[in-house]
Amino acid sequence: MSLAHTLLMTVAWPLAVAALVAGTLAWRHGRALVEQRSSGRYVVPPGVAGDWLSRWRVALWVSAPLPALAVALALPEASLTLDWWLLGGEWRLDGTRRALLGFTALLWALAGGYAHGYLGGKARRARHGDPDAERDLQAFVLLWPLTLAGNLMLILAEDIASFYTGFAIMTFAAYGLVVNAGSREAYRGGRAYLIMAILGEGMILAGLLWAAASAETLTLTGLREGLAVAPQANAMATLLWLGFGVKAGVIGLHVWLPLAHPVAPTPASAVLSGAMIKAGLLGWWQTLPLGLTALAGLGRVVMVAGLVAAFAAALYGVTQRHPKAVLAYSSVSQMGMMTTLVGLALLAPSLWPMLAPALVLFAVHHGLNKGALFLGVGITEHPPRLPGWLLWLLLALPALSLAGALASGLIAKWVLKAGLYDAGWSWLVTLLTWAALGTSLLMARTLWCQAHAWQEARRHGAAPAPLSMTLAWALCALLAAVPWWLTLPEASAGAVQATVLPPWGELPGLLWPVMLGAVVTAALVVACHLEPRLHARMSRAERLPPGDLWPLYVRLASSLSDPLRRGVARLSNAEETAQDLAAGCGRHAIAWLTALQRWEAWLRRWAVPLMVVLGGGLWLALMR
Amino acid sequence: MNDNPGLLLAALATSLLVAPLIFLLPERAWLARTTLNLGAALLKLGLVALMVAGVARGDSYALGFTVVEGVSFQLRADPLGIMFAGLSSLLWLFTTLYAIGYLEGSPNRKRFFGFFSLCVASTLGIALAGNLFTFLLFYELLTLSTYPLVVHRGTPKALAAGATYLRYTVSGGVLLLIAVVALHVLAGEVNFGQREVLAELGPEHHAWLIGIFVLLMLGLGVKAALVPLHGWLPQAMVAPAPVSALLHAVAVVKAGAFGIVRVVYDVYGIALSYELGLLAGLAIAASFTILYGSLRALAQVDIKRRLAFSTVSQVSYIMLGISLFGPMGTIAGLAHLLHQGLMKVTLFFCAGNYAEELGIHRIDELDGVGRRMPGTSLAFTLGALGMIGIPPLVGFLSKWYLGMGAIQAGMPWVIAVLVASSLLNAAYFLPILYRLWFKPGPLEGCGAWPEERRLGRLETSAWLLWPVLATAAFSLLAGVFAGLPFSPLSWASLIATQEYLP
Amino acid sequence: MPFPHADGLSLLLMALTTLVVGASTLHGVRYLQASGAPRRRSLLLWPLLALLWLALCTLFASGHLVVQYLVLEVTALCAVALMLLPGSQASQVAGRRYLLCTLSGSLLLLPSVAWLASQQPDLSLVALAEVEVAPWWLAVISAGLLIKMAGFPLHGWLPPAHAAAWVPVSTVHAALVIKAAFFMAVSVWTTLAPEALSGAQLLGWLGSVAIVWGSLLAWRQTELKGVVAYSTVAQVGYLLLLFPLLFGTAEAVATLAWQSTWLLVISHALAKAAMFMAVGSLVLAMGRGDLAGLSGVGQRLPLSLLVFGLAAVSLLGLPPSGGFTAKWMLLHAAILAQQWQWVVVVAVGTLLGAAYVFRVFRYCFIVPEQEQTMRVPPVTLDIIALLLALAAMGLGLAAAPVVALIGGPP
Repeated sequence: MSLAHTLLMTVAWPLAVAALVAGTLAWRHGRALVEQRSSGRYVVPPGVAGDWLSRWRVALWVSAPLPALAVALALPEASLTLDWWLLGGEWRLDGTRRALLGFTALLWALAGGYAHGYLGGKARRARHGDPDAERDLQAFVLLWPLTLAGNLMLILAEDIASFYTGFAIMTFAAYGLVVNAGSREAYRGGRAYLIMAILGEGMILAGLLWAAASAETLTLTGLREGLAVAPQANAMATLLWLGFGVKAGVIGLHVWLPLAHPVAPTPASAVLSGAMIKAGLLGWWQTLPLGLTALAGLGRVVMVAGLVAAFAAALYGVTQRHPKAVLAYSSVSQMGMMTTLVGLALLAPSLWPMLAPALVLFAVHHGLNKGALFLGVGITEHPPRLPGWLLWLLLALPALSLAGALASGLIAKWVLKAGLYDAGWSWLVTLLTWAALGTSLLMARTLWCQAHAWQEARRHGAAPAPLSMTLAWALCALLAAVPWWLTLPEASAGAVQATVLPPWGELPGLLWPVMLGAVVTAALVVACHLEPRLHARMSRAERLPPGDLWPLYVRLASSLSDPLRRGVARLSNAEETAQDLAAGCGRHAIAWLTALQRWEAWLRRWAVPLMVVLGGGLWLALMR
Repeated sequence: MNDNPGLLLAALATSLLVAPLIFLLPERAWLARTTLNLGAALLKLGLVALMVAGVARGDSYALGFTVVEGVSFQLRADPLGIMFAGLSSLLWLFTTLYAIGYLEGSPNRKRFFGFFSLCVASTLGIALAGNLFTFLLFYELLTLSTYPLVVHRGTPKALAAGATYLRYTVSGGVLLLIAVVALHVLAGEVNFGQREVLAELGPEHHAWLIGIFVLLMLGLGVKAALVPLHGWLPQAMVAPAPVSALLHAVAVVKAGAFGIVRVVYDVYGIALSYELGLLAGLAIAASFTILYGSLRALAQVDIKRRLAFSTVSQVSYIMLGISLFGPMGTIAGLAHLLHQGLMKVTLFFCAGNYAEELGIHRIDELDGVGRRMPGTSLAFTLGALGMIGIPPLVGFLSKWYLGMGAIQAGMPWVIAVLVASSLLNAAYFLPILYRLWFKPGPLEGCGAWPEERRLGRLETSAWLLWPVLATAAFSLLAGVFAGLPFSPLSWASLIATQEYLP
Repeated sequence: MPFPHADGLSLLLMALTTLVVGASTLHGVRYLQASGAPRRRSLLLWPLLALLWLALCTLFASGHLVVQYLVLEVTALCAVALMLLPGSQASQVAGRRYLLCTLSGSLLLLPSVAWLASQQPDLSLVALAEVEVAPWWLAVISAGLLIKMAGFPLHGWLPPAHAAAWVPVSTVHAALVIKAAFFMAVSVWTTLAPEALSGAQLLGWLGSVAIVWGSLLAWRQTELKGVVAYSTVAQVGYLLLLFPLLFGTAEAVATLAWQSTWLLVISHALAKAAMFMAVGSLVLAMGRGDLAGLSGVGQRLPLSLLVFGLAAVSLLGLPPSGGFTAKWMLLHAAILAQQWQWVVVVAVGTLLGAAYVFRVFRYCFIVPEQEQTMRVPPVTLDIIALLLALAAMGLGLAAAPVVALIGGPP
């Protein structure tokens, strides 16, 4: 086994964990059934999953992403060829993948630890025989490592099939995580998630097939290069952009994010918004001919879509009441900024060498911070026994970082800004900076909502978060804020390292949106207190539902699907009518045939004369 | 002409001779019958495996004699035939196991297993036929031997379904007979693989060739359930579940599709078919069928009916693959022949398990079944996801190669068909999965099972459970390990290579 | 003079006659015992069958028109006598009608043969090959032969006769006796009227109508024996398709049509004999003759049903059976001659055939409401029938030597 085979381990281990979980569940289930054989009834044994979760085996489950983390931290650049796998596997670890793999694995590991605590209550209920809790728990412990495996596989994949496989596994397995709470809202969010995801998968499949077949390639690199020279590159790239755009929350396709995130269990929201959303970005990265050729038309559209998302999502997001919904909109907004950069790369391929590391930096920074923020939501609902200042410090740290005021956020922003200035795209910088104002407002809103939740929780005396939750969250917040990943070996951000920290003089230019955001927030808070009418108006705005366009889509879809359904019904009716008609004809024919038997009797009676007639007929025929 | 005929004959005889033996055994002789059935299935699988290895080595197996002048009976094991033979004997083993469990305690088992063996013998004959005459022989034998299985239950509904089945298949058979005879008149005997015979006919015969091709497609299309010749398939689902599995995955539908493969590749030759414009017509018919079947499946509330329409749709993938001119399309069509079999057999077994264990026939009764029957439901999930085309299940490979083939053949619109079909597949399979796993059911205190029987110690009888799990595992492993030699995909690639690199 | 015509075909038909008569005799012994037929009457069966066998063999072997005619009359009279043997009301009526029909046929045959004898000293077929006959002569003798072979529309006497007769009698009659008239018609036409194209077409059309009519009526029968009898009417129609394909067509077509027809004669004889025997067993067991009585029969009498099925497969022309190979060659001839009408007729005939055969099976699969008591007939009956049916099936794949013996048209 070569070193490269450890790449296989990174994916195989979570899969093995999932298999182990499944096997244990099945075995315990089966044994319990055999034991109750005599009773003649089928009773699912209680607490199988709860039991599973509570024992030491949970360590296995939390360990699922650790090989990936180790690989990202320690393994040199590697590539692995798997002849037996699907269409021929080709997995690779290079700079970009390392960064994404590292942060993804880290986030999953932390969220996994968090989940252990988060699900503690459910596990207790399951052990006491609550079938709903048992079901939810089973789904969670199984699908969590499965989703993770998909996420890791898509990062490592260099061949298209593995990439798509990872993407699909992740997408479908995550459905179970989204609806895990089992409430109506959860199923609504899950439905939005799944429908959008399937539409996305369809477009991805179409784009991948079209592009890969045109380029006659099986690898993503080949696909990109093929796309760069393909005559219908615009159409293919559009399909791919839209397809991955569903996951990346491109405006218009983003509706599932604010619906699914608030309802999912908090650790799942964290990985959804932190890690999985990046799969969309990675999809673009891997399939669009970024830096290879200019697709100006598409590039402009992408940029506009990204900017619209950056602003509109921020504006809509501040009206939300649920902190997770606010965070979801923030994700849409942040992804909008990244979309803009991707569009820019499509428009001006020469910028790609500068944009690529910045994008990685941005993605990693956003992923970890967003993860920390989501995990924090659960913390405020179950405040741990921490001093208030520490709690709020840890809560505010990722928020500030995301707004670009601190640490990783500041660096990411600076790298981008510097690069874009150098390339002469100052108007874009201005726009992005204004968008950062939106982010600041969203962050303020999040903290505001969390503060409410915190107060609420304290008033009701909510149970404090278990240690594992607190620990995972605190670690995540700290690790997100510190740009530790820049110290990784041969990090893709080679260009970044030189200009890691912004000079002091640039700080005001970088920080003013945060400041302004803080001022605006403070002003609004004060104004609301002073002026009740403003407060009322604000409250009205708060009634805007999450998922903005979703009801519209639903109505649109139903108005489209009703004719379709009617058409299908008509088809069935037509077939049935045809069958009835045939059956009717058959009955008529049979009646007629029965009547024929009369003629048979006639033939029998007149056989001899008929013979004579026949002879005559034959004679006539023969005369001719 | 006769190379190693013994193995061929032995493989054919295992199930052909078992049929009369089973008929001779008394109805009560469960043990003897089961032993005989399983022994024959295992023996046949072994013999076919030997032949697979032999063919891969380059050995040839052939057997032939003249029936009348200009018409001969030919059996031959070429890679394409042996691929189908391998599929049918593998799935026969599982279906036999399943059927033994399914029919436990029901009347007329002797008759059932007798015709069952005969049916599989015909399928093997179809697979190993070396020319159209021999193919036709076994094709009709298949019709005859499946009829008793379709009407096995003897209820008015089953009898009506049987009548419909015969109406369609016998008509198709007659058309096929006429077409084959006409081909004989035109070109004499054409053994499979002698593509040059028709290719060398002058352009003045092209109208004839096209006409005969259309007749052949009509004749074979009945069994392959090409719309509008599919009417029998959804009705025939009243048959017992192992029969449905046999109809949909192992024998009947596959025989039609396999026949089309033979006609296009080994009689007309892909080049001639392309030249005559026949492939485009086939592609359009197949695409229409794919979409039509999926749309109809959406509206079904009965599990087996939905699966039946899904078969209508999925089998046409094979035809679509064939009609895409180029090696990729060929690989897609041939591989899907196997892939669809694996997935569909799983799905029908599962439907049968639900019906047997819990009395569930309708989709809205499936709420929460996933907890009651996790193994079966897992298998169903794998089958359904495979049908949608989710990697790493086998359905994805088919779709991938179809897409590649579409571009290679210069028909990018096929990709749109594929994606539309995937979305429709998702639209009619995912709600089932949702009900299975995510809706609370009787175990959570919502409602009750229609008719629960505890058939076995586990979630259901072991005879029913293990075949399901095995076929589901195969459809997963055949996808994951597609790159290994002797995987369906590799074998299909091998055949395609032979087709395009003579 | 005695056997100038003993070519391969004659030999085959003689062998067939011997086989079927022999099998019927063996079957008959057990069958009549089992069915409890009056001993006095059943004793008459054997001499009559022997005479019939002798007459048929002579007919197939003789190359002389007068001999053929005389022997045909002997055959007919034997057949009538056999038909009357059961002595029941139905058999009396049917037998008398058969007598009337066959005698009126003879009324046409006798003068025409006599007239030809007055014109021509030597009536051996070899000598007649040089002779040209008037159309009316051919028309008259054909009409006479047609009624004897139960060609449409002169078939009315056949179904009741078969339904009422004893099984060994129906067997021999359907398998051989009507074929005798067909044999004579073919030898008359090939010898004396090789140019009568339009007449041949007319016969072809009569055959087509017979196929459709016979199959349709077979489909509507409520009695098991009725189904089998009307299927004979349809099968005679297939035989008549020989004429349009034999005359005025290319040699290849004629050869194919010739071979296919005689192959059909042989496989039909075997299959029909087997089918009648199976039906005999079924009726005997059920104690009734209607189709509805068949429900649940499959469990009790699987072997009889199997024989019926095998015979039906051959009758329908489904593979692998003699009927299939014959039908294949017939289609080949029709397509080669570009006479598409016969292709359509054969297709329709096959479909209708499937309709009536599977209707019978359909009743077998119905689950009986209450257990019926059944007398299980001796297994030897079924074994004889099975052997015949297997022979009809085997003829499908092993047709090559048989076809070689049949040879080409004269």
